[in-house]
Amino acid sequence: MAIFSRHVEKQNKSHANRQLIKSPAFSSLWQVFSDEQKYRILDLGAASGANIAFFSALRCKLFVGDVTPTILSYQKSLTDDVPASLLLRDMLDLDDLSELDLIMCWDIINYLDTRLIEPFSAGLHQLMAKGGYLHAFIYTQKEMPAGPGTYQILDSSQMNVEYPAGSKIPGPGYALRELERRMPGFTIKQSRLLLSGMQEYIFTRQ
Amino acid sequence: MFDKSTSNDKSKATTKTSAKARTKPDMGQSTTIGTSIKIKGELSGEEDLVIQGNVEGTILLQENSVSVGEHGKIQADVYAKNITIQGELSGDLHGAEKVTVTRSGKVRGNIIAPRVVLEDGASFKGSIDMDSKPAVPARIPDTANTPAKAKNA
Repeated sequence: MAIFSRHVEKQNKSHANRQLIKSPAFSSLWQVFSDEQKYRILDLGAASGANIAFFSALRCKLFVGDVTPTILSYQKSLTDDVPASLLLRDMLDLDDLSELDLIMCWDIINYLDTRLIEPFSAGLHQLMAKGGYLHAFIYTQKEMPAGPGTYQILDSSQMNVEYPAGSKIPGPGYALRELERRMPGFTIKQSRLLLSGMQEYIFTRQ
Repeated sequence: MFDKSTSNDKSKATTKTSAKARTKPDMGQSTTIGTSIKIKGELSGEEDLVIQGNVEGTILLQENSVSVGEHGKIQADVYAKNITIQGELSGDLHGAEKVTVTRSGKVRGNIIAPRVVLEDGASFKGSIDMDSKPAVPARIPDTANTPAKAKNA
């Protein structure tokens, strides 16, 4: 009985590459969260025990979207008729998904067709509370891994990333201003260039 | 149906079933629903339960543990003290103490429990709320005083 809609092949983990990356912006964001409030957090990536354990320190409802394969599959069938907003609510298919305080959008923007970044961010905008945060890593180098990585939080200042095996592909190399232009409704609160060749971003929803 | 010694009978039930009604409550023991068993309806009782078969409906064992084995396929909301998923489950999990999804487990639904453990390799899509008291179902059947009776689900 197939009760799961996960339709993308799992990565061959035996041949995956693992990398430790620093996350100073995420670490500073973590200081903002307090025990006084209950937060609503969405991880767009696949479920991770380490991430669930990390967020259990916070009073929160954590949504696990595992939506990257669905979005990339949708992208393959993209025509010239690009939507104004991606129907992320339908793609995510999760109950009670609104007024989010934080979205982990760790790797997906790197693998989006440039034309989809604005519809994607418009879709995220609809799900978030005003002032909510969006955390992302964007490749600044010419090349990046063949597919999106799986992120595991070790602590607020570092993460393990596991990439699928395969030849590197050209990276997007978006500049800060270009991202701001392509993501109306968001402002860049913090941006850090990492040794790993990625730029770590924290956006806030206007 | 709830046979601790054998579970090979080809059976299919559409019923409201109380585990207590079939077996004397025996704390520390568990009842197993075997791989060939299919149940539709409401399951309740006062002992631990291991499910290797198919269950569709609601599982109410609020003072006990529910384990879905590797062969178990569940489409149900589960209310229990501790819940462990090794098989497939679609539904909401309300654990009074802890919910564990093991490396072979696949869950599509929402988890409400003070402690949630997801082992490496486990598949999960849904939400996790560790800051809410597990919900009590709208109606808890009085399994202590009423015998099991059929219910068309």
